[in-house]
Amino acid sequence: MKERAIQFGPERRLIGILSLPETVDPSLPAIIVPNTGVEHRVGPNRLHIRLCRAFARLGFVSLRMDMSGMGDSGLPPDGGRGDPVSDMQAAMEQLQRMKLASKFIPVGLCSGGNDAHLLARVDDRVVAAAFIDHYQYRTPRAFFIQLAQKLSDPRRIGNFLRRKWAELSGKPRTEYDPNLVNFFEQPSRGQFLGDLERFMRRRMALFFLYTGENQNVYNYADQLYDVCPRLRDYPLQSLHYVPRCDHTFTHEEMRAQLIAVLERWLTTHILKREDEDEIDVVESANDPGGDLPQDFPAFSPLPGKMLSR
Amino acid sequence: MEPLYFGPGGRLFGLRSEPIGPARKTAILICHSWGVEYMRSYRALFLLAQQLGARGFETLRFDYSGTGDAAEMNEDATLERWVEDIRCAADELRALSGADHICLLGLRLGALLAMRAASSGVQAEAAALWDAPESGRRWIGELQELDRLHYAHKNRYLPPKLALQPLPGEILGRRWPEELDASVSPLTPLAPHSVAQLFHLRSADAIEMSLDGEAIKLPDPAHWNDVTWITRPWIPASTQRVIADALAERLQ
Repeated sequence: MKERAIQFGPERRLIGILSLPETVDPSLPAIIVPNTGVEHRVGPNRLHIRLCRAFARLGFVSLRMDMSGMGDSGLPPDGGRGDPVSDMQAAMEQLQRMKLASKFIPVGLCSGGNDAHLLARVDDRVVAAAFIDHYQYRTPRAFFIQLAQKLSDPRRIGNFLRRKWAELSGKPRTEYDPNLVNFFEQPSRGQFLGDLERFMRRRMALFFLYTGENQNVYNYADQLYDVCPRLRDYPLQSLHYVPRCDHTFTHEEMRAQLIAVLERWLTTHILKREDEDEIDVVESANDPGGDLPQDFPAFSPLPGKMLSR
Repeated sequence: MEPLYFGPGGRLFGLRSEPIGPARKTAILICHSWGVEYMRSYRALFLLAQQLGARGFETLRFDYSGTGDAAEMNEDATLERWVEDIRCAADELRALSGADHICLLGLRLGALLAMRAASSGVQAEAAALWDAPESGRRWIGELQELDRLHYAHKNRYLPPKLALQPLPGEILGRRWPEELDASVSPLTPLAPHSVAQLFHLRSADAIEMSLDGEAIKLPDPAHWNDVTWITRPWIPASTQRVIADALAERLQ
């Protein structure tokens, strides 16, 4: 495995670290890992480094990169904030120029998952994508699980009463809530379902992993299938719920668990599939059709919080 | 800005920023802190390097062994290895820049490591110690308290069966082995006589310390000991400007 730093994009203002396997196979898709939140390309607890080195061991080229204005990447000279899709497309073009790959797999955690999703929506060079703790939608079952969790835990009842008492007393909320930082806004449920439908029509391999950290929104194994029942029967998907992992994979064993499931997914859905048939695009991702197929489930209008990490 | 690999076998990773316009005689080696402080301040130090470059300083930022983009995955680093990393980085910066003088600019643990390196023979004519803790022991204690508070607060939102527990030998997800703890604890921000110019850069909320050298007060608080800040970036542009201007006034 070799690593190499590259600068690319307009004015070469974006930076990323390439992890290269001993032998590069340009017919394999390359993996792009955008930075997460405000943490630069190394990822929380060096998670992205571990991931990319594991990908290289499997034979994949990967690039972990800083998006515009993050880590060591500059902002556009026009004073704008930069655009994650343009940033990742600049990375893809760079890897194509270097003849390392022509197909791509974005793998993103949290805001990186959002970036991966936005890229997959518009660029048909994306043949697979892995989303880790990205968009989450509450279902009736999740609502009742959370309610039961709260009612069965005297500590949380106490928290609730203290919070209400503080609100009634007019005290400003000062307690630490690790979920309070906003890094992206998730799309409406309808838009999300439409995107998934298009991803499935393009025969993209899809990986979803949810940790146990956002219990108030996502709290059981099949929740995504309840949000999108068609996904359950889609053969190229892989859904994981790991309640004992937190959002930043704080402990080493959590990071090892994530790497193991991603390696399995890549082996099953990319390497073995590459052996069987060429992954190709069956429909343009630029398909603007926003209308959902008639047989999509209706949106259940439960009061839900926006995902806020 | 130029990313580069250096040191034995290219095991260290750094980012060199060249000066805009004529170069000064002094080049600045930026020594990061560690763990959550490293992540929080990473972007700020990128921006500071740009500010220093605009004032004619060549700079090098780099990651210690077992941290950031360094090649080593084993996070059981040792103090000796980190001091050796600073020596390699200082040599690299001197060779790249051709500068006559090196200034070690160390943030938090980076300040303690920089002074340990200077005491161990790393040639530095100047040092700027940014929110240096009074000792390694105190710095470790502050991080351990943040670790405890972070888990306690996080667990308030989780059912008991999913509660997270701090692991021995780790601080906020990063390995912190006993040997490292024992060797970092006695470190202090005292500079050897070989460092001719010494500056203490103190954030608005830093505790007062009486130390040799010139104290430079910074306009913004740093919130190093505030658990609500551990997931936030720390990019006070006004602080960066004050530091860059102060060093430009005082260094050749």
